[in-house]
Amino acid sequence: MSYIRNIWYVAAWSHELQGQTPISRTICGEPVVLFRDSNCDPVAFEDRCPHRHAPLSLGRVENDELRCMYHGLKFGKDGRCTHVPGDSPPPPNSSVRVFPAVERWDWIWVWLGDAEQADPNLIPEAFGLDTPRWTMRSGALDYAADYQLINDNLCDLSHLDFVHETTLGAATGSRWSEVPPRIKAVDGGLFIDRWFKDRPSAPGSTVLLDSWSRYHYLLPGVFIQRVSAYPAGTAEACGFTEPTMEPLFERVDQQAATPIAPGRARYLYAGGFSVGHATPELLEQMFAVTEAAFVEDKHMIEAQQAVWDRTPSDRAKAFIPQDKAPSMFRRLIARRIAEEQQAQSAVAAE
Amino acid sequence: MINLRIRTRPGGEHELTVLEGQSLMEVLRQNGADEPFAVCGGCCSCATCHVYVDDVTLQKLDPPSEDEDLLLDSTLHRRANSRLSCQLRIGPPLDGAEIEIAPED
Repeated sequence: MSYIRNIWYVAAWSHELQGQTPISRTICGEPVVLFRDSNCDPVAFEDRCPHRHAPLSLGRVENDELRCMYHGLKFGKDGRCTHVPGDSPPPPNSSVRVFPAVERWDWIWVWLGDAEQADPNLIPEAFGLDTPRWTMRSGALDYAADYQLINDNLCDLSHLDFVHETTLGAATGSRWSEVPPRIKAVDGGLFIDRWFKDRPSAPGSTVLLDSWSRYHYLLPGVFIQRVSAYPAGTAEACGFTEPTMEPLFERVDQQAATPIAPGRARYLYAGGFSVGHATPELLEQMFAVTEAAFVEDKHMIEAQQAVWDRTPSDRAKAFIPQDKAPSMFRRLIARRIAEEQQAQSAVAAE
Repeated sequence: MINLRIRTRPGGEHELTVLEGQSLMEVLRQNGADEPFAVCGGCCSCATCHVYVDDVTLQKLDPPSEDEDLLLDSTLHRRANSRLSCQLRIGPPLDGAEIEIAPED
């Protein structure tokens, strides 16, 4: 299985890495240990002690160094072994691989490829969890399914009408499968948007709203969505583009599908609502609906993975128009992987 | 009736005379294009009907739409003379065209 190497992967929520306790994550089949230095900045190493390959995630953080708690070797932030118990000099091959790690938007991002290309400016813009504009809730789920099946799911929101018929689909009051999205390519992924006109503001209400859902879906699997509610008529008035008026109410989502290994992925999600537009009770109800929906997705996607596992890869799949964005996104991943492999061959040939 | 010369992936070449009106993709599908080809059925959604068009013919065609351009960009083998055959209709601009099916991604 191939993965894009030169890209930022979401490894964890900031709050999953607390204090002085290292945590282990597997990303694209690579064991990774995360810890915080004396500035509280994240550091990522290969989770494999260069000595006898014990997991460094069972180690101990000592100021800016990580000590393997099997035989006590210590490693500095540059990965070099700084101390061998008994004071023998660090031997050859005793450096641990360091992965660039950056904390932004309450996520810890890790770069698995060429460290020299790890530019933090390539990290997509998101929302973060602790902001004055949004009341956010976050969570994570481990999936017994490939991250690309989660990408497919998020690139085609028509599934809301069926997978989430009684939860999120019902809550939005919109028929996602009946409104084809606009799909545009952007740097690093896709921009997908839909206008829903004349939606009841609540089930049974006669107050009608227009709702604009738009999201970026970015390599390798990052979902940044805003859904804004406006008075009915706004969609037509702004020509189905971006209204100039402030929305009545907004919902935002910040999600990532990170590959653990083939057939396994971690789904990190956060959803929020514009501050001051809902009572605490309504907020909790909305979060509960959202989390129920994610459980529905996991159930369907894991079941789909199980079918894929026993289906020959050359068995045809029928294509419907809703498959356009998922298909384009898979092509973007494949093209990035091919470009990296070509670049590697070129270097090897020199 | 329009005359075409097509080259399919395994290196087979055919001279065809075809009716106007259908899409080039449909002609290719009926005449030896190997799967996967036109997976989306011709609705400009997948880029598997990717072909190379000879330069003379290319000049006579309307340029690709933004959608077509975006899909062509997503392929691994785009060239200056790349087009999606589902977006090309058989008509006088294609008379005498030489069409080569692009390598599979």
